[in-house]
Amino acid sequence: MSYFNLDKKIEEFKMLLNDSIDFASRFYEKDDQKIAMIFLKSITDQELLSEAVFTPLQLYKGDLSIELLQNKILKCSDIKEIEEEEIVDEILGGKVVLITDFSSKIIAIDLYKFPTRQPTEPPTSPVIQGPREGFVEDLQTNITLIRRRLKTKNLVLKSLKIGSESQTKIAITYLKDVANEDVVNKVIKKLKKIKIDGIIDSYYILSFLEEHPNSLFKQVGNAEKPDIITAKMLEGKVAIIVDNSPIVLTVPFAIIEDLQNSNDYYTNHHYSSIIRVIRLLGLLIAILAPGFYLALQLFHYNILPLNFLITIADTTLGLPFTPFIEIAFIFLLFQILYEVSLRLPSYLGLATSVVGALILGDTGVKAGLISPPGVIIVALAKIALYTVPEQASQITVLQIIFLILGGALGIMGIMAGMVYVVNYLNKLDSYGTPYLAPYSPRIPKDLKDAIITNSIIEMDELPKTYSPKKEKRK
Amino acid sequence: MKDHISMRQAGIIALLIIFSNKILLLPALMHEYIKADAIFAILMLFAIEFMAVPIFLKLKRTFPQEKLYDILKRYITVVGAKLLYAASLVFMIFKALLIFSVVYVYLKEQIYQNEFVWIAIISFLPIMNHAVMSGLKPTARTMELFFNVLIAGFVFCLVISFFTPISTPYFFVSSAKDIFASIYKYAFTFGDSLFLFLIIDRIDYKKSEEKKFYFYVAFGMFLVVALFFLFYCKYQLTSFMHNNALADLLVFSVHFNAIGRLDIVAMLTIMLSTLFQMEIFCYGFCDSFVNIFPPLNKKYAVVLFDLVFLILYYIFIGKYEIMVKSTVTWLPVLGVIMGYVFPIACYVFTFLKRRQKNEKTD
Amino acid sequence: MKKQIKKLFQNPMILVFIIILIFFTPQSLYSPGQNREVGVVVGIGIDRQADEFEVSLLTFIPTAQQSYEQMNSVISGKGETVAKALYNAQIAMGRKVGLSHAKTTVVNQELLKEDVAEYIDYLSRVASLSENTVFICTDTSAKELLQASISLESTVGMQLEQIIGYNAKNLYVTDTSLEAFYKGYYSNAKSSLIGFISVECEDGSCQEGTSSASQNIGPTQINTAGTGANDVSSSGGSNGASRSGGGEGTSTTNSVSGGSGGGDSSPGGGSESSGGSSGGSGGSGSGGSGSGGSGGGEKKILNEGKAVLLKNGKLMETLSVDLLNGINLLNIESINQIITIEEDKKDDRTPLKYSYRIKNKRISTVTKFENGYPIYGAQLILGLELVEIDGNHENLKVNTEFSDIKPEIRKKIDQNLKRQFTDAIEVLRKNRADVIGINEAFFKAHRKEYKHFLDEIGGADKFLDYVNFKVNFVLESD
Repeated sequence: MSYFNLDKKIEEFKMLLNDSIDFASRFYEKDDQKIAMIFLKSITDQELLSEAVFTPLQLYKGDLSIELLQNKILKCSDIKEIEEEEIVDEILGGKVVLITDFSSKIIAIDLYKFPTRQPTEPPTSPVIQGPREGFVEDLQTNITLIRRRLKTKNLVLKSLKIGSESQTKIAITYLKDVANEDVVNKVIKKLKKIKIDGIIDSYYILSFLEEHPNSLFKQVGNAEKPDIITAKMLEGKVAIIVDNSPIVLTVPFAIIEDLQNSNDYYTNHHYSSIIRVIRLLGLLIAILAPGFYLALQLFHYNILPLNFLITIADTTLGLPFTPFIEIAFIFLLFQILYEVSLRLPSYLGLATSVVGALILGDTGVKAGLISPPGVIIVALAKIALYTVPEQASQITVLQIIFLILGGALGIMGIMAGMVYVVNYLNKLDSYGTPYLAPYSPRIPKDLKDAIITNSIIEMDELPKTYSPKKEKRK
Repeated sequence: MKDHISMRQAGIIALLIIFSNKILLLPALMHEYIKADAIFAILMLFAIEFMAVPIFLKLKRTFPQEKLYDILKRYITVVGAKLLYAASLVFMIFKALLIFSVVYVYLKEQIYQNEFVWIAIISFLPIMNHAVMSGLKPTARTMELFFNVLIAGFVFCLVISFFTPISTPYFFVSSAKDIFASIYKYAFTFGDSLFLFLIIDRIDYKKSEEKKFYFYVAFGMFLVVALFFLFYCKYQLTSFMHNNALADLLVFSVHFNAIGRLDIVAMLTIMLSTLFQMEIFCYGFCDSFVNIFPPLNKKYAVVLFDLVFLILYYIFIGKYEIMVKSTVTWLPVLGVIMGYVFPIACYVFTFLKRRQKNEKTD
Repeated sequence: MKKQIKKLFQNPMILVFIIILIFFTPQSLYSPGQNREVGVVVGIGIDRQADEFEVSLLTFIPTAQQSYEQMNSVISGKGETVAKALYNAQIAMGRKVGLSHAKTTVVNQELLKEDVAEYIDYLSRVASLSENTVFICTDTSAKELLQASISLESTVGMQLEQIIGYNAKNLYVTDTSLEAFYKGYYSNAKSSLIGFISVECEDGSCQEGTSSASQNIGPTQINTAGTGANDVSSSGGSNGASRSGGGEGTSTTNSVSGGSGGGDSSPGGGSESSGGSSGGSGGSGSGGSGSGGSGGGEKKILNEGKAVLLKNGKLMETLSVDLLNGINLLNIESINQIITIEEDKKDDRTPLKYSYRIKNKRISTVTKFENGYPIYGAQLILGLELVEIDGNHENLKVNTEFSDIKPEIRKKIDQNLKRQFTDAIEVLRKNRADVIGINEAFFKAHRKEYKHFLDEIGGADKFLDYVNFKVNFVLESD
């Protein structure tokens, strides 16, 4: 009794997959028993197909059955039974689907293969001392990288597929004895609710995970290195790994995370504390310096020490622009240079620097279009921005807001703006975690790893900020 | 819990309201009247104000989750409660106006050097309104975050005074009668503990944190007394000429402007504390309003606050002297009622409740 | 679009930001910055001539590619009140006057003939003017002093307030600021001490004023040599000091021009400085319109370390350095004073002159009422350092044995210090100006007796007359 008309079936699937050029089917026939293999050449490891399927079949003497194929003959670890309606999805997922005329059962073998890169050090988070592996675009590799660091039965890995067209695999991973269940459930609920055609990168789901998607401020953490993600998971956070993206997301998120850097943990904690203070200062300078400088020029010349006032007066005297326009102009110049340097091929980077620094900056000053103090202030703000690169986009927007506030209202406006921003941030909760914790609200125990950091020995408790299940790190 | 604050945050709020109206103009005003003996008046006023803290905590223990309005309703009827809230409404708006007017004059003289009414309004009002709309929790958290910065600025201003020669001022130069008269005269600048009673139901009370609460109140009072003392030590007989106590401590410390303008520290400290105090008073106003007119929500309260504030602003601030005069003529009555009589009344309520309990058990 | 606008209005703070953008930002966009709108005043001078006031403002107005001197001008205006004169100066300047960087306020002596507090009332009310602004007087005109200060800065890089700062720290040992003036003015003694700086003119145009000031000082017996510490002259050339009307006057001359050798304590002779300071052109303002320019190329600042004693805001006496030293003997912070003593004449050689510097000072004071009269007792332990032995003794070498103070010299120093102190107290008594805080000390220590005593004598003014000073000097050598 023949269960499937294999030729017909293959034709059917070929049509379903739009007669794709990478559609492939192979037959194996032995003693009137026929097996058809359907797969996509582009994402299947054909060498492995030969080794794991064809060779064992040829070597096998005797009658074939699905059970035998599954358990004995095929040399592949990931073999599973599937339903007929799942066939297309499985093929698209890189599986080789086996249909036989001697059984109604259908099996899928995972022989997925696509070009992938090695876990190299990501350009965004280099370390001086510490692990250099970074996530890659392959979900499996990324899971491996995490699994290698967390050899515990408490590690939970849940999978979801999102994207009606892309069918992107998403893995939710956490430590079940540490992560808060409410957070896990909330994440899963939010992910399941996503209705989208395709997920190209993890940033696509970021907005769906945020509790205040319209907010300027990011509410989901991200990292490109497995050591960082593992550390975050150990604190009770939930990691979301998206296939085809080297960026892994974590929730809950507090802003202090962006002031912490993996380097801090791989060096002396006294030094780390100093660096973190500098980072915080850098953040404040980046946000406030241009606005403050403008406020001083437009409203509060009297606060400036006389010598500095003389310098400013002297250098801005011949400028054709008013202070506001001058600063806005320099700001725009820097932003353009930044955008250009990002998009230009690296071999043109040097040229951009020369044009930016020498021609636009120096000549601009000499030509009397911009003043040296103005250039210094904006440059300082722009450089300081990268003390916290994770917040670069947010800081840039805040720079503009505070520039306008400082220019329009003076120091009073800047102070009011600061109070507003902090008040707003205090309203933002990321999965029940206060955004500005452990400072606001103050969580004394979590201050061990805040701006001033202690040694690892003293960090024996899990940060309460993220409401973990257990208290101690043991 | 939603919109609930911790005892620490409540303590910080208490500290901030202790600062209100007292760190700029008051030392000079009081000096003009009773010289350095103003410190005794301050100490007495603080002593009375400090008494409100145990009363407040006792009331919280007696009525753990109850709103002040409900407590008042029970003992002095709905009408009585509404009248008291109406008085609180007036108290809060005038407090906000007073602090705004004093700080406005200071900022105008020291920072803006010109009239900047609209800049001040657009900087203050939306922040106050936003604080009310976002709720007590984020507002208290914001205060908590800036608390260390604010205290560091304040302490810096005090400490820097030691870098110039200071000597103890002459005490006991005024009569006891004058001292007591000034206690009444400046009563309106005190009595801010009322706000704590208004938010009594929104504080997560923990007995173990009572000490913390006491600490913040005592620390706030200590800082203000220290400011008065150092200010009088520094300026002695000319104290009455210096209307910006906290800032002036720094101005004169910088000899020949050698170090530059250090008084920016005082400016930022004053701006920050003013913003928070205004938020507190706005919140107090809106909370009172919502309790008087329950069908109306905070949005209406905020709009009303803005309107009343702007109207009164044009009546009072344009004539700064009227504002200052009001604070020593009829406003002290309100200050005494809300700041001193009201906490005592609350103490009576706790007593009555205990009696009711005893009667029930009997 | 509608949805977007609705969303925008859902957050009132966005609305507020839009209001800021629409109503506040445009104004800032075309605002040229305060430094272009405000004339930054670094010094204020007030002169009184008959019933008119002249306010001069040493103003910094930035000018491209100009030297510092050319960016500073003295702009003045006249008016019947200080406020009116300042207003006229502002008109002359064509900019708003910014007083927040004013470091010096100078008044001329005319203003001090009556209660100066009445005239500087405007300054006490201007909030932007800091209370720590240096407050000094001059014998000629405040305007000239400010003009001279421009060349002082351009030639030797010193500012007027730096000189005053030195004086205040080492000679007056008290601040000479508006605040310090008011502190004294409102004290029981109603007395203040403010700095005094002269302007010296090469062409003799301001000699009159100078000499009139000298008359106030009168001859003073001073054995100490001028320290010359404030001398900013670049080379010697003149025989120094004594512009103070004869006698062995000392002066610590601060001449900005090239040739003065002020500070050299040779007795007699007038300070004659040669060489002119560079300076811009320009004259003085008049008629309320004012004029610019640093002006007065020949005017030089002459710092003799003097101060003036004010009682009820009126000038009582100009105090020489020696008198100031005497006044400050009881001030623990007053050190570095030089005491020069000449040994007795010996047969075979000219007497040597020993100069000692007060290196440190310890003071213990006692105030008491004895038989109903106030007694102020003080013991001053002075650490002296031998700094010079002047004489033609052949065998004189630098030797440690000279560090030891001989009994003869010790006695002379003691006498010298006592005379200095007595002279100072006499001056204070004469002017009823207690600037050394004797009233305060008794008020603090014996309030009842003090008040009772004041009732008896009829006020704090006379108190100093009745105080019996018992001062004992203990001299310690290295």
